[in-house]
Amino acid sequence: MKNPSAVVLGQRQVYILPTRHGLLFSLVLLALLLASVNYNNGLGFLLTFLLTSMAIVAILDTQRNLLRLRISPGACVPVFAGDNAQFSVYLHNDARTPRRAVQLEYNKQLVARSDIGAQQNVCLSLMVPATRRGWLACPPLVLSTLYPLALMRAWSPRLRLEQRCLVYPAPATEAALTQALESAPASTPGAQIGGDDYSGLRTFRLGDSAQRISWKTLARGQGLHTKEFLDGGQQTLFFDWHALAPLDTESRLSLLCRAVLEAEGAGQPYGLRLPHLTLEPGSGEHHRHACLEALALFEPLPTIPAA
Amino acid sequence: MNLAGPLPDRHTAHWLLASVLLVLAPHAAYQPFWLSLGIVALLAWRALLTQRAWPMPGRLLRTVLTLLMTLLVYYHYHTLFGRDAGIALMSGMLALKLLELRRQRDYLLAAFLLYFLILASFLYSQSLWLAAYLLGTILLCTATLVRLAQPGAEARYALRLAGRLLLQALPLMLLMYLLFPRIQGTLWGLPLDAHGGITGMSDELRPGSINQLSQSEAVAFRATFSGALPANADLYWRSLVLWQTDGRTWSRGGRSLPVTQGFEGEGSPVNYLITFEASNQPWLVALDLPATQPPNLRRLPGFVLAAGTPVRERLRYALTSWPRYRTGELSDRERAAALQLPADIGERTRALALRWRAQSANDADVVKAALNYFHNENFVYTLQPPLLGGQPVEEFLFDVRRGYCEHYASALVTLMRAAGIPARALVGYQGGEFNPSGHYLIVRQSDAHAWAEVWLVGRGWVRVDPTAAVAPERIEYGADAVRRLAHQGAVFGQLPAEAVRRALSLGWLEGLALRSHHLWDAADALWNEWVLDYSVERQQQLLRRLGFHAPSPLLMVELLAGLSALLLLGYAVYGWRAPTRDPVLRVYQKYCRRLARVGLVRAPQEGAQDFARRCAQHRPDMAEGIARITQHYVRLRYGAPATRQDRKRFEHAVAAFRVSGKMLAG
Repeated sequence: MKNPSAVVLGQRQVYILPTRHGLLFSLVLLALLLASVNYNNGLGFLLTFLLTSMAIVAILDTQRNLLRLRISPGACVPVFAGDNAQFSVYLHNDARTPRRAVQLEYNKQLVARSDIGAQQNVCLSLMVPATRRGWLACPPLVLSTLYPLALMRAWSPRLRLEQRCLVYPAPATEAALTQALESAPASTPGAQIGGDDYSGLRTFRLGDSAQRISWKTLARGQGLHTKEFLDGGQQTLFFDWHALAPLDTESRLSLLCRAVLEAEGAGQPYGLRLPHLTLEPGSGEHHRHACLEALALFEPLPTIPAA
Repeated sequence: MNLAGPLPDRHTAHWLLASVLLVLAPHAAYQPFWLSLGIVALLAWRALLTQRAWPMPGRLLRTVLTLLMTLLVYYHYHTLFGRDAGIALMSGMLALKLLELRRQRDYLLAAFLLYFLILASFLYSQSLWLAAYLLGTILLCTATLVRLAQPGAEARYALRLAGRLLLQALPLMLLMYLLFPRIQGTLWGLPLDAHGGITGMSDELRPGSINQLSQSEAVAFRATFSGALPANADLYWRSLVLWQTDGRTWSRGGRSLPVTQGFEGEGSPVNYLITFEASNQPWLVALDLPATQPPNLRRLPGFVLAAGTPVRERLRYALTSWPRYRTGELSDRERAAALQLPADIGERTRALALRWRAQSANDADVVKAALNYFHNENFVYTLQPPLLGGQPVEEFLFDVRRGYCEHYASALVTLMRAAGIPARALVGYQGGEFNPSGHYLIVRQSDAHAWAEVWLVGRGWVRVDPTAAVAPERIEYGADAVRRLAHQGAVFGQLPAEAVRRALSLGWLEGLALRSHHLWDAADALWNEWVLDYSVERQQQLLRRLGFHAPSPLLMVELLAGLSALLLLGYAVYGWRAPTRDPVLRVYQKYCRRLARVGLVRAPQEGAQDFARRCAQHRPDMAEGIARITQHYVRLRYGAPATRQDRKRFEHAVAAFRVSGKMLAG
């Protein structure tokens, strides 16, 4: 009764074949045998059979090094599209003997090699480029080993762990956001702020008229701000999907993602309005995640299949 | 990193260099000096390359060196093939190969070649010492393979793993060794120089010939008796019967004599097994008198055995002998051969024989008179006899009177023939050294002996050993004792038993040396039996002894496959059930397994405390037990050193812990 998404390598899940070195070694053994037979040399026979037996014992060791190895997925931190998703994989050695030089392979490339102590586990991580928003499934992984003499290689089938990584949309650049705002319509349904009394700066929200953006602060690198014309200090921002009407879906999501990040960075409460979903204003890590998740899974793309 | 493995590190190169040096060292004994020197130079150069990070030599330089080496080997051996030249070439190539160690494959090739050169060593010597030494180098080579397979592995780990693999391979190796079907003969022939430098007993007896042989401590043969060991005085190992003499030299002659002679054994027979060392001569040994004829061996006139060809490999045969016997009548041809004498044996000799003839009632009395003569006159048994001239018997009997067994034997046979009694000289071995460690008799070349046989009416051939009349110590205590006594200046003849025992008693150090020598000889004999001489016949014998009546190669292969499979299955099962080393962890895991049954699975990264909190939340009914066990566990694992009591309490808590109820949803 293990973690349901864990995989245990049974007898049928460990394949084993000689490596090129192993084939060469078997030729060496054959030559040793021929020499022993020809010279009828007792010690020669002993040497030949010692090395042969050693190779056979090593086969058992190679197989046993993977047999009953348990693999379970670890946590996966969401990333933005364009970054690398980091999948962590736990290898559990439930056996009473250590396992040596267990290799994690992905796409025929060695990712990591590690020893695992008796009844210990190790966590290996795998970086996979997250190309687009949505769910990214952990690619099929192969565990392999050349232990102990690299004469044989044992490997597992391609393991698909129940592990997926949430990929947020790639945030648009600030410049893109600014540009998008300038061409956006002045009035939006979500804009609830207006007035003529200039009362300071507040962080920009989508729906704000472009005329109200404080270009000076933006130029100073302090982020996007809107000139505040109402009294009342902090303002609640509302980022509205519809405000970016002329743009395509992915661009809008990227812009909204950037807007969420900016607002969160400035400590302004913000809300998000999508066609079928409205997230009431709030702030904080959870709120940010909820917003970004909503953006990531908006009109969800199919889960990115494993490479 | 890639899948082919990273580049071997500097330490691996050093290990490989050390292995090459150790494996090639025994080869230096028979390889030309320039080759050994060149190899050492190449190794030193290679070590410096690594040490100083010098660039590797280019392809041109390597090609030139390879050509040069090949030419030199050809110049020295006049060939590039055959055992010696082939091995020399391989050694040189290995040393050159070290100059192009780059990829992992180069290292592997070098390591594999090392195994070849270890085998090559065995073609020159198969001694136990060399085998032990080379076993060490096998361990080192294998540890090098481990380091190649697992770069960065620690030296101790690599050696331990290699040692474990080799140890685990031993039982399987034994199975293969014993059961792998052997074939008779060779595949592509042996080199011409395969048998040299072995000497055995010559088929001639002349003054000094036995004495020369007896300087050698080499083992002539070993004998294992199935019953009690006969007394030393009965241990006459006959090798050759010499009929013909020219007055100086005794030779075999008697070629036309009938071979099959019967005899009546008296008393009880002795069964024994002879392991005869290579002698380059066809003559074998048999205890007086052999009643059986082993297959493949010849019988020669006079109850002696010989092999069909000179014995070049250790030979084993079983025999039955009767120490007390009575042989049959003498044919005319035999009588003639047993009375042959040259004319010029010497007047005094002939006169002495005729005088005894005249004074005696029968032949037996003549023999008695002769023995009395040797016993009573001033004859001396010596290991350093003086040289004799043209009439050696006459000179020995009347002038010199100092001699070794061959002098007494040839003089006695000459005297008997001169007196008209059929007589013949025998050479072989007398006595032997009992090895209590292996319960067998070691007979050395130094036990070589010569004696006589005379034919007496009614009794047939009777053994007469004149040496026993002069120096009974030789027959009673053996050749080794005589040498020791002679060294202490004893005069042979009537040494009191007490004096002999005192003289021969060993100090504790000598005793220890003798015991260890015996142990070593027993190990050597076993080594010979099971390693050097394990042949088709021995394999068949072994299987027959195990109850297989018709051991065919197919049966051996089947047996080998079946037993190997069983052995490997045993390994596999043992591997899965290897006991855990941490009893506390084992008990804790039992507790975890019980919780898992109701769906509470400990996550890999979850600490014991966190896990306990989570479990207690889900199952408040079990919270108490969980808390107690976790508290014990944390204390045992991370707290002060635990006492047995603590461990017991923890075990009890886990044993008392029961889980009940349904599996947790989700």
